[in-house]
Parts: sequence; structure tokens; C-alpha cells
Amino acid sequence: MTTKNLEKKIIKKVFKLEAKNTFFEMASKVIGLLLLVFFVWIFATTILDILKEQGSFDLFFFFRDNVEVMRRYFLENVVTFYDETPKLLLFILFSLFAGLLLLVLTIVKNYGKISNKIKSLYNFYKKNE
Amino acid sequence: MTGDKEIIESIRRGEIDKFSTIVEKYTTGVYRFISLKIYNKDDVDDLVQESFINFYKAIEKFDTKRPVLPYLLEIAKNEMKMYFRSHKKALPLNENMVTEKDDIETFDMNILKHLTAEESRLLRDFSEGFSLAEIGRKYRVPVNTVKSKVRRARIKLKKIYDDKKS
Repeated sequence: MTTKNLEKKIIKKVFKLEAKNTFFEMASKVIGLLLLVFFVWIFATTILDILKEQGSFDLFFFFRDNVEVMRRYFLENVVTFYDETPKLLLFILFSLFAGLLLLVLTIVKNYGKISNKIKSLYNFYKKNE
Repeated sequence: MTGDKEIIESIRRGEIDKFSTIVEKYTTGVYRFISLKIYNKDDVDDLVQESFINFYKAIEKFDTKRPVLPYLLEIAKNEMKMYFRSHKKALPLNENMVTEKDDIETFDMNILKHLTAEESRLLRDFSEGFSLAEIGRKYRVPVNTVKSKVRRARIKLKKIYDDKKS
């Protein structure tokens, strides 16, 4: 095999490797994003349903009363509301949300790199088809 | 003209097509390095390809302050070591010592038992493609000492084999 042929073979293998890696990276990020959004939505709606059933939101209807009543009972109502929240579910929701935020930040940070990779792969396969 | 450092930084930013510059620049050097120790052209081609692919896989961790070629040659050397191990290369002694392929492995195993641990180690490294200078550096021994020890071990092996044959 001449050196030129060997070089072409190396470049082809590298592009094939990178195509596979980029595909799996994008697929895993999309699946991760969808799963996290789904579970955040599930937990958020579940917590809201529990709070509605308990009538916990009634604690904030005092906003309809005058400012003096609101000021006097605000802290106490907030503490009571917090006591009534399903803490474990809330913790899971915040963890999932933090994970979702982290994933979104990672995607935004690597957007340029992935975009360049896709462009390079497209140009390579277009040139070699 | 873009230096290697800029090219590698471009590759890290996702501009994979720039890797072809590295390949075009260093293929000949890596090819020559490997073909000094391995004579089968197809195997040399495969090892050159593997060396570049492994370099590409490690490109995020590569220190751009270092020159590229010595790093590539280091990868090539490791590939050659694995190649020799997987091919169970027989000791490069007299060709007449073995007649059939199946005899090679039992020949090596049985006869190496007659050597000291040091002699076995030296001959094994030598047969795996390390140069005398590299063996000397590895064991912190002068090159001439390595040379004479390898020679004595080979003479000893030949004598054992000749005795077995007779």
C-alpha cells in the first residue's frame, strides 16, 4: 500500500470512529434530556396534586385579606406550608431539576464542538460519496 | 503555516478534518519506524493505522507543548510490543533450530527454563523488538553488558538445543 493510500485509510477510519462517537453522544444527550424533562414533569405534577388535596394552597389565600393580616401571619403560613410539603418528593424533584440544568448547560457549552464535528463529517462523506 | 499545536486545538474544537494534516505530516515517519522491526507490509500498515487511531483517541489529553512525532512513535512502540506478544514471536536464533510451526512454542517454553531469570528477561525483551540500548536503559545496565549477556544467553540456548537434538 502506498503512503497516500495508507493516509486515506487512516483518515477514513478516524471519521468512521468519530461518526459513531458523535452519534452515541448526541443520542445519549437527547434521551437523557427527554427522560429528565419527563420525570421533572411527573414529580412536579405529583407534588402539586398532593398539595392541592391537602389544601396547602389555602394558606396563601390570606393575600385577599388586608396587608396587616398578611404581614402578621406570613412567616407562620410559610412554615406551615413547608411542613405540609412532601419533602422526599421535593428533594427528588430538585435533584432531577439540577441534573436537567447541568445537562442543558453541557449541551450549550459543547454546542460549537458538536456543530463543527457534524459539519466535518458531512463534508467528508459528501467528498467521498 | 499552522503549527501542530493550533491543529490539535482545532481538532479539540470539533474540526476533525484538520486531523488529516497530522496524518499527512507524520505517516511516513511512523511507517519507517515500524518497518525497521516488522517486515510484513500488511502488519506494518495495520500498526500505523492503529497508532494514529490511538493518537486521535488520546488527543484531548495530549500536552500540546510536546512535539507530536515522539508521542506518535511512543504509541507505535506500544503497538509493536502488543503485536509481538500476540504473535508469540520465536527467538531470532538459527533458522534451522525449528522445522515446524507447532514446535516453536514448546521449544521456547522448555528451553527458556534452562536460562536464568535475567537471561530469559533479556532474550524476551530482545525478541519483542527492543533495541540493546532500550534494554540497557530499562535495566540501567551499559549497552555492551546487555550485548554480551544476550550473546551468552543465545550461545547457551543453542548448546541446549543441540544437546537435545543429539
